[in-house]
Amino acid sequence: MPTHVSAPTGPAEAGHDTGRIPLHGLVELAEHTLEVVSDAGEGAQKCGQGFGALSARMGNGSWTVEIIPAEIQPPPRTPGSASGVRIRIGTREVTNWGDAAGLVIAFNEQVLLSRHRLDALADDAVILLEKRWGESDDPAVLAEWKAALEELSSKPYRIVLVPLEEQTLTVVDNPLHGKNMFALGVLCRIYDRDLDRAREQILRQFKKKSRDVQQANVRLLELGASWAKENLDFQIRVPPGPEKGPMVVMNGNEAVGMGAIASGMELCAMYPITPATSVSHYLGDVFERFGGIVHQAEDEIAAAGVAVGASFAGKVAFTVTSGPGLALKTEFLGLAVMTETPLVVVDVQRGGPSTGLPTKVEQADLLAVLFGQPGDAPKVVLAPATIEECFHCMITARRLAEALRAVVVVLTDANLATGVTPFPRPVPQPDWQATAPDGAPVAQGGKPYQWDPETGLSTRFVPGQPGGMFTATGLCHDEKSAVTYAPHVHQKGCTMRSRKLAALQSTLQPPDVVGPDSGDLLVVGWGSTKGAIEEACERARAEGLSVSSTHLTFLSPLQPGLRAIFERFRRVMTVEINYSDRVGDPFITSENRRMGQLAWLLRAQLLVDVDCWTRVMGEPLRPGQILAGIRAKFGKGADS
Amino acid sequence: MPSDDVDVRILRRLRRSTDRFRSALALAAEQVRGMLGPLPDASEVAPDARPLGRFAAGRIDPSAFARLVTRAPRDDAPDQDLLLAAFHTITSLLERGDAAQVVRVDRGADLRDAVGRALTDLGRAFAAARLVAPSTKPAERDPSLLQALPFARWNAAERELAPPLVVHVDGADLQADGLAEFLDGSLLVVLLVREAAPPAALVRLVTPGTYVLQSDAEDDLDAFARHTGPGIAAIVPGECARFVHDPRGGAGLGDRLVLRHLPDAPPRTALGARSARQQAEELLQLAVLAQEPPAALAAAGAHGTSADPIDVLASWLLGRAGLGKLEVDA
Amino acid sequence: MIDTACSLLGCGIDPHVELPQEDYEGPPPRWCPGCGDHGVLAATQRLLHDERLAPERTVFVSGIGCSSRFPHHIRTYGFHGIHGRALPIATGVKLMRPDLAVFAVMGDGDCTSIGAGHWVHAVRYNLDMVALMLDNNIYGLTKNQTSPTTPQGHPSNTQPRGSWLPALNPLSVTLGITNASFVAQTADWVPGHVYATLQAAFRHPGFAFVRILQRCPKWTPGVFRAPAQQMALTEILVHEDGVVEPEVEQYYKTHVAHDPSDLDHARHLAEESDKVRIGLFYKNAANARYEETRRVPVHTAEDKIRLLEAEFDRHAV
Repeated sequence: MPTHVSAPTGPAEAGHDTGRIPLHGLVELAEHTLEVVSDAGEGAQKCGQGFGALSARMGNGSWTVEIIPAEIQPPPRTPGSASGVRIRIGTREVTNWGDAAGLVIAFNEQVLLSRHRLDALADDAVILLEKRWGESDDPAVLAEWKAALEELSSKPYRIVLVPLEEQTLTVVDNPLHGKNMFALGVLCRIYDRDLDRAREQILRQFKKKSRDVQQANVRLLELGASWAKENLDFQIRVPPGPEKGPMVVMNGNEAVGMGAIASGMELCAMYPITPATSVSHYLGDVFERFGGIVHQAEDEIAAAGVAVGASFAGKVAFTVTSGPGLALKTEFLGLAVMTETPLVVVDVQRGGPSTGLPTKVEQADLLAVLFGQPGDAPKVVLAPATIEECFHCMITARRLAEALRAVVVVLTDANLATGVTPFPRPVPQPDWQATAPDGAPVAQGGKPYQWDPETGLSTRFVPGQPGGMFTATGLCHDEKSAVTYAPHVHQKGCTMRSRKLAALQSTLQPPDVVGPDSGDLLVVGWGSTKGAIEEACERARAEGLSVSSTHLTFLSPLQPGLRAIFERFRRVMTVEINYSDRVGDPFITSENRRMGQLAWLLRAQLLVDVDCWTRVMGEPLRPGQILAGIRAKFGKGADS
Repeated sequence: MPSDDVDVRILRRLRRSTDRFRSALALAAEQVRGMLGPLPDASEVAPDARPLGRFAAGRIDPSAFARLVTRAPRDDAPDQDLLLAAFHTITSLLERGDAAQVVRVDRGADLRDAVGRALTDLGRAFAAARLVAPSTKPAERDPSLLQALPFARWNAAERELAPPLVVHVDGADLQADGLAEFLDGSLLVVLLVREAAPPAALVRLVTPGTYVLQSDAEDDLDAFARHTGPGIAAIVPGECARFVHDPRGGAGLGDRLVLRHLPDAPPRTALGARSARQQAEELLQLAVLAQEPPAALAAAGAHGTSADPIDVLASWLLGRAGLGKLEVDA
Repeated sequence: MIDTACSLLGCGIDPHVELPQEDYEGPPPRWCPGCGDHGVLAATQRLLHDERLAPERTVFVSGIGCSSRFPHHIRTYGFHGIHGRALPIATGVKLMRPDLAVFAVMGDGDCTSIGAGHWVHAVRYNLDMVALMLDNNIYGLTKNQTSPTTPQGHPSNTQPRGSWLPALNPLSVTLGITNASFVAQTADWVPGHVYATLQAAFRHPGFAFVRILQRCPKWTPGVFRAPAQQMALTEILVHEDGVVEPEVEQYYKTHVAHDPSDLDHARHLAEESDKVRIGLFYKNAANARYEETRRVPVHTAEDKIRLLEAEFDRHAV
């Protein structure tokens, strides 16, 4: 029988942030967050991803995010080796990773400790902990165990010891290849998952393995489920939502890769950089089947250069990078702007400056993208807010790049890149795809930069077109691309390149306001924080606060009508994952306070006194954390 | 017509040429699609909105955007009907896949006609391209060619793009010399010969730049597939002669032609329209081209004009049997 | 060459129409009188004419520097890029459009200093293009700064008491790179040889690296004065597979027999010597070319959608 190490907490209360779990019986919750953590290599990720996929198949909303150790092969049984998955499931669509986990399966007490120390676990979380370490013959291990449980006792967790390895060894010889499936079985029982579907999923997952391996994994699943049935006295049900039609599930980087394919792009030129690289892992596997190439260049600069060359030659190409890589590409982006060579840049943002937080999220690059080039280098900047949008924005990006002869930067981040969630299966259209230049001769007198004086737009000439020969140049040039430093030529070129953004903006529509369209506070976000912001605002409204939110997907040009929207609220505040000074800190005044990046931008562009609430903790924002920030603006409670 | 495994297998060996042809078609299809603009379709999304994708929905006004970026078509651009006809011709050929490159010659039917028909059909892709290519003057646009463009009317660039063909034919119908007119550009033809066949039917096709292969092994097609000019290969029954004429072999005919196997005995009966004598002539011609020791042929009376070639062949084959084994593929 | 980058729509065009040489000439250059760039430009224009290259199917890519103005003076497509980065741009062009003839034109600072990383890797990629390195041993455009190939001891504005370091040997470097395919050197004072070298480079199927020695009349007029004035100091590599220019071989009597397939001997000849050696050091047409190894068949939009649906099936819930 499981041992209850700590005292059970109070009865269940549906609708609570984390979904409190009852001591006995079945509770129904609208959403719940759980984690599976193990040493690296013990398969917790596979277990968690499997649980997430299974939940999605059963019609739940789900958001899965990986817990990644900092090293490739960290020493086992250390907090640094924690590897696993957080899964948040819900009846409705789940748009973010939530606050704290209400349940965790831990393969040892050290990895559990790391989650505890990161405040990842709710105070009343149920912890299913491998019990063998507490029975170890090794005094050092026993001492670690005792110390860990002592530290964990600072919170009223409910710890249940589970004979993970002991049970697994009844089926397989090597527990490393099986504990995770036993754990999946336990979760299936707790969350009332359909075992038949789980079996199916395992068979699919191990389809390349021998029949013996498949069967052993299925037996472990069943064993875990029956162990849980006999030994655990609670169950959690998160009912599925209404039928949503066909869905697909993937992470944001895979979505970017698939979006690139759907947009008809044929070249991804890149250099390995975390957390962007997995776009090229995915495309490296499949792109050639679609007639595309992943070119791994010798460096970040060359990756941009190859993409620029390919686009100049008539194929719209993209490059994918992250902060440090973006910095290196700076000069090439300026060249692409100056020569009006279409280019799509996907920047999967991570913590900066410098090498910063390579695996962690930050909305770090908005201003670098907008203003990183010397001189004026207008670009289109899009920020998908969901994994689904990571797919769809690639189509828009490619189209805009080509139609406007512009650089289009897509700002995603580590949160979108590694998050996994189901979304409606796209129905790809031929019209999404780039067409091939037809090689038609250029009419007599045609100029390579025959700018429409109204819009700044011009028709691109592509090698192969007779009569279109010109030399693209990063030097100041006139409509014929002739280099000249004559006084008005640079003024004209800058005007025309900038005009394209204004022309595009004239076709944009104002963003939606979620919540009442006027009130005390408007929260403005961009990028991957949308789900967490909207959830926080919804909860704030439920508490009676007058809060609405709006989310910007076009950062350059900005969508129109923002000032009018802002004027309907007493205060406007951005919520971002980047650095800003906190009011009240030493020396910080309203004059010298350095703001969040979107706040800088909105203040400069709109002359509105936009406030900001930002955090750079290297993790996605938690809705509860934002809620605390909102409450604090209303003078209710302390900010986190 | 569904493809047999053998067709798939052989076309896989010839993939380089097939890819070249299909890529040219696919690229042309995408170019024509670009000229056409969004086509009406079943979706509820307005044509202007479709190219912008779903991310733009509710964010970009599609008609305003279209007004911004749409330019007047070129004066000499083909009209929409021609573009559509060309587009469908190209894509329908692509959709036929392997089947468009497989020819089955009915028993007793004419090999040349069958191959010609297949090429005429494939030529429709070139006709479609000519119809809409920017280099075609409006007056020269001829939609009637969409129905058929015989090989004889393909230009040099088109012949370079020709896809390989796999042809199933009875040995009795192997009038290979009729295919000479198609051996140009980069066209590769593989004949899969059923039942008894003339021993050296392909010898009449040996010219300096043409790869000619008679073999009983599909593996030999790999070297054949790497040839960049015209080529013809026949996979023949075991009793036929086996030889390869590879233009890359060198300047002299002797460098290029390798004789791998000769039948043990001369043909004694007519096969289809080919008399025994004609078949013997072909074998002798092969021996001459392969520069078999002239003495051997002379001794057999090959220089004589009056002797029956079958007799000449018989005595020569007999004689060389005593000379020892044939040199195997040097 | 016909390959998967060709469209049916180009089939009606004769790719080898003879155009008058003036049709390859852009606006006249404004390089200093006596600059070696003039001669290279003239030889290149002649090459385009003689090889009947369609101007619209030819692309000249350059970096930044005096020599990088090159594309502006040739009537083909051109891309005058950024300092040191001609090769990545050229790689992108050739990789995605193997049907185009591609030339990259760089200076010594461009190629061997700021762009050195790209140089190494472009040789390794081995795309079929011509890379010209116009080496006048100095930064000219920015007015007299030391470059990696500046002779040791030669003063400049940045190193007024003479260059501190021994000069980099671009030939030895290139010959040391895996997959090197064509490495030649020529000199502006032997115009016939420049042309013959360009022609051999263009006809070579692979990445053809040509270092062109030339004098900057303003900053390095003396660097090659001796070999330019004393024929005996210019040594011609001769071989039937090399750069063959009988007239040059007749005037320049100092010959070295060198089989360009002999890499060891090429490396030996590339070592510094009191003579300037010009000719083809190394040639290997058998090396795999990147645009060939990476070639994938083109798909129509409909094809891609069919394949995408299969991808979605794999990710379906």
